Amino acid sequence: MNKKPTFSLALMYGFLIILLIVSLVPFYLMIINGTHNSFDIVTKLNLLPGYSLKDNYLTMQSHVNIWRGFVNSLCITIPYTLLSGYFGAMTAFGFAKYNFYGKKFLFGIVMASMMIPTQVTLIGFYHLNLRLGLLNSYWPFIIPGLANATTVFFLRAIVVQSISDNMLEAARIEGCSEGYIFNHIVLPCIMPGVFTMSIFNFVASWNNYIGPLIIMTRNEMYTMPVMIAMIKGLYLSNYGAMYLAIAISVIPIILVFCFFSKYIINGLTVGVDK
Amino acid sequence: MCKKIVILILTVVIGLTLISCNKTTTPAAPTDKEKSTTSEKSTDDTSKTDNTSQPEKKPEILSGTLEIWSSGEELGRFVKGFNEIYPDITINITVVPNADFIAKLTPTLASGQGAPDIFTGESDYVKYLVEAGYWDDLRLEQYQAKTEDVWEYIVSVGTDAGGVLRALSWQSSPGSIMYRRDLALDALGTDDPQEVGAMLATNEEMLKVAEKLKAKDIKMFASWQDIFNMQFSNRKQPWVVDDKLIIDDSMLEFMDMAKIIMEKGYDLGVDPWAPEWIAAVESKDTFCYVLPSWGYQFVVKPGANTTKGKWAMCQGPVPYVKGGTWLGIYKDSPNKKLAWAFLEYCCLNAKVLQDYGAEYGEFVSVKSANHALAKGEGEEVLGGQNPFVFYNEQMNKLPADLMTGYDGTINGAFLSTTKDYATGVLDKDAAIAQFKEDVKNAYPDLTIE
Amino acid sequence: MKRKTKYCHNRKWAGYLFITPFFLTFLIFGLYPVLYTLYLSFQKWDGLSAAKYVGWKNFQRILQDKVFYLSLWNSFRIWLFNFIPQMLTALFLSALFTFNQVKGMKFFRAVFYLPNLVTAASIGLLFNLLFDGNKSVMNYILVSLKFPGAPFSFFNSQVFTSGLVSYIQWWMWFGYTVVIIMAGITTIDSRIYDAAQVDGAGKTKTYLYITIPLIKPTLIYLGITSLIGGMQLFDVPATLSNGNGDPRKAVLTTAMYLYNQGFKNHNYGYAAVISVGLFFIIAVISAFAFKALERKGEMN
Repeated sequence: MNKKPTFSLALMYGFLIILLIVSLVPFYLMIINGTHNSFDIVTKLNLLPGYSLKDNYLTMQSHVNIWRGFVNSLCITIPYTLLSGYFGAMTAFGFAKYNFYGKKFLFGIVMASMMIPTQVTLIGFYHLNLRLGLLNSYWPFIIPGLANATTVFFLRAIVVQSISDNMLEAARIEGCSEGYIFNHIVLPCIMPGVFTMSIFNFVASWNNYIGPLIIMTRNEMYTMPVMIAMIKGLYLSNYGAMYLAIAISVIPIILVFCFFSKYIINGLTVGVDK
Repeated sequence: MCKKIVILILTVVIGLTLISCNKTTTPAAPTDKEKSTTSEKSTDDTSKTDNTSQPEKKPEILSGTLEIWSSGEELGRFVKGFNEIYPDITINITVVPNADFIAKLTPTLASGQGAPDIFTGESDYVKYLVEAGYWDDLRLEQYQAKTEDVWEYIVSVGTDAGGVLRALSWQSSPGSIMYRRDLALDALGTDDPQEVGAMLATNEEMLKVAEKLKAKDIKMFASWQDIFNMQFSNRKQPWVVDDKLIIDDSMLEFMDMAKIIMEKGYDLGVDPWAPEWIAAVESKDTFCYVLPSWGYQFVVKPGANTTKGKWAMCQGPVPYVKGGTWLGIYKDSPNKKLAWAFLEYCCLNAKVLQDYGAEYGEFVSVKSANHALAKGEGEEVLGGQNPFVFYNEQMNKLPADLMTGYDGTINGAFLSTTKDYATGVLDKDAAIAQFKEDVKNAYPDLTIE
Repeated sequence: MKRKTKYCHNRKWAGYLFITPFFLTFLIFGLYPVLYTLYLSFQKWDGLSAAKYVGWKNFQRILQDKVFYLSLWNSFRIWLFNFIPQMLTALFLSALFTFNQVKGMKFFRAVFYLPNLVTAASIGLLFNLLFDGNKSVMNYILVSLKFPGAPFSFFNSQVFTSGLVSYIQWWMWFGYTVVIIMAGITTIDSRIYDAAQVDGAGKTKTYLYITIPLIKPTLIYLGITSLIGGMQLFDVPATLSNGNGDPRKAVLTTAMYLYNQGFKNHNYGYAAVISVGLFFIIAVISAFAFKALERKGEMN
C-alpha cells in the first residue's frame, strides 16, 4: 500500500462524511422537534431530545386521529405504487421496443402530461371526481397510478439501456407471446429500475397534500400530510405535535427505502476494481 | 446497516405505542372530573335559559350531523357544551389550514356539492365571502339573529354592501400595545397603563419614547410591521372605494414611521412570527408588541414564563381592531336548523360566551358577556390587569369598520413595498409606484391613479 | 416472408396494447381537468360568482405581464443554480460508489436521500432559525468571529434568498439523483467494463467515456424531469417567503404566482392562463433540451 491511496481514501471519506452531516442534521432536528414544546421549537435550535413527547402525543391525538390518517395513506400509497410500477414498466416497454403509427405523438402526450401545473387543474379534478362519484374515496389517488408518466419515462430509458433486441427476437423464435416476453423476460430484467421508481412513487404519493385536502371532505378520509397540516393550527400553538406527526409519517418511507434499496444495488461495484 | 435502521425504527414505534397505551389509561380519570364540572355547567345553562325568555326556551329536539369547516381550532371548544343541549346533533369540525382554506372552499362552492353547513372566513378574506352571497341571510325568518348585544364592529364586517347580515363571530379582536412593566418603570418612570398610554398618544410621541428606550439599549418594538395592525384603524377611508384604490394619508405616514424605526433601530429587524420576534416575549430588551387580543392569546400568554406578571396593556395613538374569524351558514345547506342552533349557541348566547371567555381568556363578541367578565379577576401575566376592562373601553372608542375583500392582498403588497422603502432599496415615490403596480396586477379592474 | 409480415402486424398490435391502460386512464383523469383549465382561461371568474366569457383578454394580458416573465426567470434561475451542482455532486458520488469499495455505501446513500423527506414546513422554520434576525444562529456565529459587516439581514437580500432556495433544492434532491444514476449504471453489462480494462483505461476515463454515454437516456430523464419540477417549484420558496416571494419578488416562482392570482386574488381565469403559459414554456424548453441531448447521443 503506498501513501497516495490512503490519502485519497481519507479525502473521499472526509467528503462523504461532510455530506452525511449536511444531510442528516436537518432531518435529525426535525425528528427531535417532536419531543419539544412549541415555544422552544420556534425560538431555539434544539439539538437534544426534550421532555414534551407525551404532551405532544396527547395534543396530536386530540386534534386528529393520526393512525386513521396512517391507514388512509397506506390504502392509497400501496396500490398506487404497485400499479405505477407494473403499468409504468408495461407502457415503457411498449414505447421502447415497438414501432407503431403515432408513437412519437403518443409519447409526446406522456411527456406533456408531466408538465401540467397542478394548482388550478385541481378545480377541474374536483369536478371530475364529483361527476364520477369518487369524492371521499381512495380511487382518485389510486387509479392515476396506471398513468404515471415519470415512471414511464424513466423505465423507457432503462429498457433502452438494458434490453437488447436480439434477446427479444430470440424469445420470439422460441415461440413466446408478447405478453409472456414482457412478464417473464423484460420485467425481471428491469426490476431494479422498477424498484427505484417505486421508492419515489411511494414517497410522492405518501406526501401528496393538496389533492387529498381538496378531494376528501370527510375528516376520517384525510391522509397523513393533511392531518399534519391540520395539527399546526392558525398560530404557532401546536408545532411540537406537528413534528411528532411528521416523525411518525417518515417511518414507513424509511422502511420502504431500506426494503427496496436491497434490490436496486445488485451488481453495482462490478467491473473496474483493482 | 438497514437492519440497524429497521431496529431503531421498531423501537421508536414500540415506544410510541407504549405512550399511546398510557394515553388510553391515564386521562380516563380526568375525563370523569371534566364530566362532573361540565354537568354542573349544563345545569347552570338550563337554569339560565329558563330565566331569560329566549325563543328556544325548550330546545327543539334536533338531530343530525353538522359539517363545519374552520380555519382555526377554537370552534371545537364549543362542541361539548352544545351537545349537552342538543345531544343528538353530531358536529364534525374540519380544521382546514388557513393558507389553503380558499383553495379547498372554491371547488366545492363552485360545483354546488360537498360544501359544509357552516364555514368560517378569516379577516383577510371574510369580506370577499360576505359579498359573494354564499352565506345565508341571518335575518331571515328561520334565524332572526338578534344582534343588539353584539359589538357593532362584528355585525358591520358580517354585513354585505346591500345591508344583509351574513356572518357573525364568537370572538372580537380589539387591539392594544402590550408592554413590559419592568422596562417601562426603568426607562419611563412608570408602569401604569394609563400613564404609559398617555406617553404614546400620537405617532410622534411614540417615536420619542422609542428614542428614550434606545438610550437604555431597549428595543421599543418587536417588529415595525406590528404597528400596521394599529395604523390600519387610523385611516379615514378603506383601501378601495367605488372600485378605486385609495392610499390614505395615514398609510403614507406609516411608511415614514417604518423608515425611522428601521434606520434608528427601534425594533428587532425581523418579520412578525420570526423566531426572534416570538422569543421577544422572554427577552430582556424588547419593550412591546402592537397586537390585538389574539396576540395576547397566542404570543404573550403562552410564551411568558419568567416575564409572568411583567406585562401590561395600554392604548396607543389610536384604538384599533385587527383580525378575527367569522362564520356563516351555507345558503344551500340541508341542515339549516342545526346550523343555526350551533351558530346561535357560539355567537349570540351570552351565557355560553361568558363561560368561554372565563375559561380561555378570549375576548368575545357579545357585549354583556365581556362586561360580566370585566368584573372578574385580572390576568397573572398582566400583573393583575383585567384585559376585558381594557378591551371593553377600546371597543367603545373604535372608528368605523373599513374592511374590504381586497385587504389580504393589498396589505401584503403594502407591507412588502414599505419594507423596500424602509430598508432604503426604493425611495418613497418608487415604493408607492411599485405598490400601485402590484395592486393593479392583483386586481386589474380597480382604478388606480 | 409471410410469417414475418404477420409477426410485424402482431407486434404493432402488441405495442398499442401495452400502452392502452396508460392512455385510457389519462383520458379519464388527466384530460378533463386540462380541458376545464382551458375553458377557465377564456373566462373571468372570481371563484364564487358566475363566470363570464372574455375571449382572448386573459391571453393578451399575460403577454404584457412583467411579473409573469419575472416569475419564469426566477423559476429557471433557481432551477439552474440547483441543477448544475446537483448533477456534478451526483455524478461524482456515483462514480465513487461504483468504482471504489466504499464501506457503508448503502448507509451513505440512504442518508443522502433523507433530506428529500424533510417537509417544506420544517425547512421554512429551520432556515428562519438559522438566518432570520440579528440573533439568528448564523449571525451569532459571524458576530462572535468578528466577521466584517455582521450581523446581516439575510432575508433582505435578493441574491441570498434566491441562492438559499437553490441550495435547499440541491440539498433535497442530490441524494435522489445519486440513486437514479446508480440505477442507470446497474443496467450496464459488466463485460463492457472488462473490455475497457483490457484496453487499459483508468477509472476516470472509463467513467467519462464509457459509463456516462451508456447511461445517456437516464441522464436525459434526470435533466428533463428536473427541469419540469424546477419550473413548477412551489413549496420551498412559498414557505420561506410566506407565499409572496419576497424580497422584491426574488423567489416568486410561476407556480406561486398562479396560486396567488387564483386563490388569493380570485382571478381564476387569469390563473388558468398562467397555467397554460407555464405549460407551453416548459414544453418548449423540454423539447429543445430533449432534441439537443438526443442528437448529441446519436453523434457519439
